[in-house]
Formats: sequence, structure tokens, C-alpha cells
Amino acid sequence: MIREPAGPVVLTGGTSGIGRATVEHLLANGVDVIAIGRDADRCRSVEIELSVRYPERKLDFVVADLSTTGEVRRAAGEIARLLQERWDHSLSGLSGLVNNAAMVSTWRMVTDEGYEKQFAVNHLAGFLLTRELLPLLERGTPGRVVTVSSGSHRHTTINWRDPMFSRGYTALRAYKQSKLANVLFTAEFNRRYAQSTGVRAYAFDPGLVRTDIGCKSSSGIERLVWRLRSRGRGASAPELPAQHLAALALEREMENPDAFYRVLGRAGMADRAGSDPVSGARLWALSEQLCQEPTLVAS
Amino acid sequence: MRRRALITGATGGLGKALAWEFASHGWDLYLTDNARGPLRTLAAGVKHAHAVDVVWRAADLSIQEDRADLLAAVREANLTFGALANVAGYDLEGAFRERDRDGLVSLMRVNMEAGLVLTHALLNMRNSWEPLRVINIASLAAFFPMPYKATYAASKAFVLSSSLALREELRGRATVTVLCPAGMPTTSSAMKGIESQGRMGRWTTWNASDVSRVTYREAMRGRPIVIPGWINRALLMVSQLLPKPLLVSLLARRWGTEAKRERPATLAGGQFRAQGSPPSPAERSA
Repeated sequence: MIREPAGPVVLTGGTSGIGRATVEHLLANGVDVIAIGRDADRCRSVEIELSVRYPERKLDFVVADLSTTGEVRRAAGEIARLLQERWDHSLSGLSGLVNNAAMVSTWRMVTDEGYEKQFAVNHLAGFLLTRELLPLLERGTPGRVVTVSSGSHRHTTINWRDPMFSRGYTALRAYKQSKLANVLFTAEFNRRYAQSTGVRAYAFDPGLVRTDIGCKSSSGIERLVWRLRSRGRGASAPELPAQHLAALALEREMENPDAFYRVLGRAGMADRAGSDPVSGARLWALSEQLCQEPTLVAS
Repeated sequence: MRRRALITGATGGLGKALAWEFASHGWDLYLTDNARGPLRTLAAGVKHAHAVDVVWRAADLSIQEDRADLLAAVREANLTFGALANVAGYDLEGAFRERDRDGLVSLMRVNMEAGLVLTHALLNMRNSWEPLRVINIASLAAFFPMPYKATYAASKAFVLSSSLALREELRGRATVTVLCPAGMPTTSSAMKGIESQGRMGRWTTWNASDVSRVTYREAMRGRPIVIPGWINRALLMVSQLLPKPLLVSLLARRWGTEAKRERPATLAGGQFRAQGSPPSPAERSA
């Protein structure tokens, strides 16, 4: 079921929750991993722990805060450099990219660029990292791009007039928008690149998982609801989605490969809004505009 | 006719939000703060999102030569301005005797002098067809003498007082609007401070983008004071009915225990720093 991987899988948000568990699953399945994490200490401790447990595999951490486009570009450069240094066969590319890093914030936070942080971290970072790593993904088998979305992409729209929610921000609206953006991005990626590059993108719905994403930077009601929901019946440990996420990043032969939206191990239906080509193209153009390379000079 | 706004303290929470607010109304920007990296990043973001012209220059407004260099650069660039937002400002936590003297002086330079100097200079570089919109950032702390934040609160009182006075004096040439916000959730320590106050913290807190939107709107109308949130306005009104010495002793009790616990506080932007730590570039802009 699992193919022979040609190169490592890149995964963002590798130090906790589903990301960390997925790193472990990939290593256990004989796949090398380059993980990205924000906190150097946490990266180091996970790297040490898992390297001891899987000594025959290569695991590298790149420390980067993916909230700004500059850092995403730097991380992509680091990955290319690591690939050359540590995986020396020159033809080897990346066998997959898992855009997993995401966050929730009660208050409206902005990045150094002034972008609303959930939009920047949950969507733009994955968009830009995918684009930057595409040549490497093309070379590896070719590779997969899996973006962790969520069932919360349903019943919402992209706030085109104010995608950064400078007014009317609520944690949930901004989160849902970012998860819809994940689905739109995935569908649009396939329209643009699946044929020409052979790289396929999937949006992964992990179901309800017991992680801390809703607690890290939120409070009050959101945190309470999040705790209750994620501790309640029906919530799974991160291992369950991690196992399916790892498989999705690697699997070559799968039932119905055109179904880009996957709920755990099965093909699912994305919301209609998520596969709308007009919105997909529009989001792509907006994201490209926001991710332009800076061409500014100081006065 | 294109208009340009000069914003100091641009890479802090409120500065970024104001930069975006102006850009979203089509204004070109001149951004300044004391570190180059964050300025460059912000300038790129605003430019990409709003397709306006953004010029930036790093300057430490507590240093006179830096201020002079900034003004010289602005003059040389031959730009005219429709607005000036004096956002740069900060606080150092801790009791009076624990602070070093240079730090106290620097704080007054940034919080009080910089805004006045820039206002004075930009009046000569304003657009001929409209009054210069000056936005000054005070704080709710401007209304109270505040033990343990004596210098900061007094510097904000200076901003409040001078803004209201200049507003009358400059009528026709400029409008002066002074913003007196409560705490804003712009850093994680600020958010923790808000959370530690429970429901009250959440009720009195506005996102920086909402504060900026209201501030922009009121500045364009030439209004004198902006205090976001009716709860904040009501609390202010009630507190002003109390005799000052009583009020100050109540505040001392509150901020005194607060300072001992070394817990971040949330009355005004920029005062969320742990005791004694030097200001980081991002935090220096309230």
C-alpha cells in the first residue's frame, strides 16, 4: 500500500498534536522527515526523542515561524539545502509536503506584514511553501501535497471584501475561512499543476481530535467549548488522524485518487464552496499578490 | 489627489493596524520605527495588500540626531503629508526607584518630545488643500496619576493636554485627535494580562484593528478625543467623580500588588512589560 519513497517528507507544525504524531508514523513507515517547528527547544526535544527511537531514519528540524512570507521562503531554502547535504543522491526530491501547521486566536493577531495571523499561518504559509517546494516535489516520485483542513470549512465563505477581518473578527469566522481556503487552494492546485507536474494535492479532514490548538492562544468561551468538544466522546487521540495523514502523504495506489478531500482514510465530499473554480482562482491570485517578494527600498 | 500619512511606532500592534487602516483608504505611507527588519517586512505587506506607495526609514525617536536625520530625510524626499500618527511610545514596568535615570529620560523623549517635534515639522509639509490630520496616542492612563507608572501616565497626560490645546491653536491648519485606548491584545503577554482580568478584561478590550478604524474615522472628522468602548468611557466618567487622592490610593493598591506579582497589566498600550526588562523594538511602539 505504501510506496517506496524517493525522498523525505516535509511537514509543518511537527512539534505537537497531529503533526508530531504524523512525523512518528512516517518514520515508523521507513520514511525520512524534514519537519518545521516554531520553537527551537521543542524542535530539539522532539528531534532527539524520535531520532533515538528510529535511529535508522533521518529526521531534521527547521526552526521557522511560518507567519511571515520571508520566513516561509527562508525555510524553503533551508529544506533545499538540507536535501542536498543529507540526501546526497542528486536526483532525489521530496516525496511529500504536509501543510499541517495551524493556529486559532481569540483576539485578532497580525503578523509582521500586518496580515491576519490565522489567514497567514493556516493558509498563506502552506500556499507559499508549496509553491517554493514544487520543483523538489516534482522530482520526488512525484510527490504529494497534503493540507490539513477541517470539517469547519463548511457553511462559510471567503470574506472577499476584507479577508483579513479587520472588522468583525471572531476566532471562529477567521478559522473557518482559513480552513475553506485550504480546500480552495488544494482544488486549485490540482487544476493548475496535477496534469503538468504529476504532483497531486489533497485536503485532509482529521475529524475531531484531542489537541491543544484551540487552547494555545484563545480563552474564555472558545477555550471552554474547545476543551469540552475535544475531550468529549467522538474525539480521537492524534494518533488516529496521524496514521491516515502519513498514509495519504505516501500512498500511490488509492481508491478514487481524484477525490481530493479525504476524511481520515476515506474519500469525502468537500463543501461546494471549496471546489468552486472561480473562488479558487480568485484566492490563488490574492495569495500570489500577498506573497510577492518585497521590492522595496528604504528612504 | 494622493495623500500620504507619516506613522511612527509603525511596527507595533497599534502602528501596524493604523498603517493598514490608512492604506485601506488609499493613503500612501511613510513608516518609521526603530528597527529596519520589521519595517521592511511591514512595508512589503501593506504594499502588496493595498497597492499604495510605502516609504520607510528606521529612527530611534529617543535620540535627537535620529530625529533630525528622519526629518531631513522626509524633507529631502520632497513629500507632503495629509496625516501624522504619533504612535511611538512605551512604558517601563516597575517602581520609580528601580528604574535607571537614562531610561526615564528616554521614555519622556519618545512619549512626549517626539510627537511635538514631528507635528511642528510636518505642519510645514502639509498638503495645501486640507488640514493636517494629527493623531496622538495617549492612554486611559492619561486621566490618572498612576503610582508605579508615574512617568508613563504623566507623559500620556502631557500628550492629552497638549493635543487638546493644539487642536484649538491650529484650527484651519490641522486637526488634532487624541486616542485614549485601554489595553489592546497585540502581544501574547498583553493577551495574558487581559485574560487575567477575566470578564472585565474582555469587555474593556478592543482589537487594534477596531481601535484603528474608529480612530481614523474620528480623526477625519476632526474630533478631539477617541476612547474606544462605552464601558471604558463609563468607567472613566465614574472614576472622575472620585476625589483624586482617594483615586490615586486605590490605583496604588491595585498596581502595587500587580507590580509585586509581576503580572502584566492592561490599562494602556505598551505597559505590558515584565519588571525591569528593556523595551524590545516591537514593544516600544504602544
